Amino acid sequence: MALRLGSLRFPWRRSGAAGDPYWDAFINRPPADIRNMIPEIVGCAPEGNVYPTPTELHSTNVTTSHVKELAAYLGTQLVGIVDLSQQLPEVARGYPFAVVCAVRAEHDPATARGPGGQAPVQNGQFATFIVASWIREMGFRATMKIDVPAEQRERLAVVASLGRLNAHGRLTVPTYATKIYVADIIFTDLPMVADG
Amino acid sequence: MHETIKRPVGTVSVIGKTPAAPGTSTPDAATVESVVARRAREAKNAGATAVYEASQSITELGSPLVAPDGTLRMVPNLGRTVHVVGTVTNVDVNDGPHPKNIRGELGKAMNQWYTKTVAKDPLMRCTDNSHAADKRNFLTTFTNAASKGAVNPNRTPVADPKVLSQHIKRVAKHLGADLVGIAAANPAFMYAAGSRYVQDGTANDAYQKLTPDELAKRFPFVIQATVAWDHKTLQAHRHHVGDMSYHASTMQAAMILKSIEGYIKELGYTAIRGAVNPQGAGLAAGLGELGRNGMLITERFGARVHMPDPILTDMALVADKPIDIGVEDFCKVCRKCASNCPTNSITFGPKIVYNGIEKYKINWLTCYKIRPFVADHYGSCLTCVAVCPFTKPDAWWRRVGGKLLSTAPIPLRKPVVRALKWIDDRFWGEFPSKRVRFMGYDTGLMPGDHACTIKECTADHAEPAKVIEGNVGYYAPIKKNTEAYVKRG
Repeated sequence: MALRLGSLRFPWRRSGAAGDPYWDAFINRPPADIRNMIPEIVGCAPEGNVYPTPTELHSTNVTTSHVKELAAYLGTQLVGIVDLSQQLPEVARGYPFAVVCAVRAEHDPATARGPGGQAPVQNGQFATFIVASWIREMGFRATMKIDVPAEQRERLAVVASLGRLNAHGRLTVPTYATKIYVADIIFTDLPMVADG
Repeated sequence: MHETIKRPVGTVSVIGKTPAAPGTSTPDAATVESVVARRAREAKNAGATAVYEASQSITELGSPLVAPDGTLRMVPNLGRTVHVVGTVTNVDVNDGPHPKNIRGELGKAMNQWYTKTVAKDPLMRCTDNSHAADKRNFLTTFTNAASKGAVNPNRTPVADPKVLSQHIKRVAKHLGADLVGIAAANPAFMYAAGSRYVQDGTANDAYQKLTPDELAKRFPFVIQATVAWDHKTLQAHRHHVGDMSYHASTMQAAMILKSIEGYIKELGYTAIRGAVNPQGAGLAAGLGELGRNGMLITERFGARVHMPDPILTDMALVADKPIDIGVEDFCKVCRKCASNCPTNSITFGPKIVYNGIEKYKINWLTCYKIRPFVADHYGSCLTCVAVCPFTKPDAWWRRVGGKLLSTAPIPLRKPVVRALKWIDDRFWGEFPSKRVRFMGYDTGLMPGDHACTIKECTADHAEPAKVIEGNVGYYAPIKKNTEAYVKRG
């Protein structure tokens, strides 16, 4: 987003999408065939089994830092852990912890339905899929198959100290403000230390 | 722009086999070189990746202008590091190392390791397809095997291919690609007819029966995009952390290309995968140059990129040109990858002509065969990638060095290369072994040692806690040990 002061414009460089006649369709036009969309493909993927032999863990604070380190490595901008024992049972769904990952979102995936608008969903899936798989391969339960509405995901992000809700009820975080998308929540029984 | 025509009457045409037609002779090297040089000049003048000249004089088999089945081809311009100098027999993807191994052609031990071994490390199990405990925990299982969406019948009209090319590149960058390029399709870098590289084991596109020449004619452009490996974790080559660096980027690149493939279909054009040799496409698209280590070396990331399966499309685009970043000059002098290779699979010698292509060729068999012996420590070696002087963080000082080399006139590059190599050896070491700590892994531990080196950890481990001083990494197998059993050829 450029800052305009009369005829002056900051930053000087033009936006990459300026003058691109196809850009709006890329961001906003819903797909004619949903099978052409990665979020649909990955969202429908079944989850793998939990590895039968649990891996020997470090202390919980170190394990927590490893989960966050992996998620950050895979491209998430913010990662937080929620202690679900402090939440209502319909939120916790029988799991003690939730990993909340948030990625930068230039466009709101709820309104920008094109492949470009869904890029944050794709980026979030990339990170959460691998983190959840890694937890399962360490011998602990981890699932993203619990349908959590966007509002509830944002509330969990607030509980994980990633940001706060603004007057419109939208998640606002430092650096990215509301240009943030909370990816699928990972529910897990991997022992960790909760944020917040 | 791109056209393939039939060879004049009288040619025996057998796909995949070189016919022994009477009177057929291989043209002498000087003739071939002159034709290649002339075509490069013409391509430069025409501002195109390659040009086709129907009235060219060499029509003999063995010429770079004639396919094994007798059809005439344009010679792909692959830059300074790779030259097509003879007949290129299109490679069947099933002749690659992994398919050969799956069929048991590399011996029982190799086959057992590849098909029946589950990795001991959880990070490996969720990032390495062939050693996963449950393939459903491996992301690319789904992105590659996904049901293919339909091509949108409402085709988006293309007014200016240049604008669309820029758009596609912008799309790839928006989806997370670090590098993207467009190449003019050429039969020389297509897989053999009917051969498709698909990890889900099925190729159900309707064009599978087309020959490489027909495919290149039907789909004139190739889009190649990729994601660079993280430099810090790559320093833990010959370690699970280095494997993860490699596999995470390949998974992301596969996801991005699948997404671009879907988007092209949404625009109303056909996009097929698994038909094009990724390195050939990367070279022609100007993503990099081929190094001594057999890897594509790029301007910004060096060798730390993997060339994934590119997209072949009938969308009207404008092809990029091969680049010259000085890899040709550097690899002649450097040989650091060859010195560091644990299996001595990289040549110290000059380029050779293999399958009609002049290039540095590694010994893939010795490179591959070490893997079962080191499976407890790593899956993919990556030493040649990590030690390559081009493989550095994408920082200003690296860009200055790169510019210094690529902008120097070719005759003056040798002293520049020697200076840069000297700096690289002094700062990064002739045999780099950097200690990397990531997610509790520590390459400061000797191979085979098991201990916790995390200060903050208070867990009661079965193995004792250990404090390691210094910044040296120990990677398995250590070079001096491998000299004993892998003799240099």
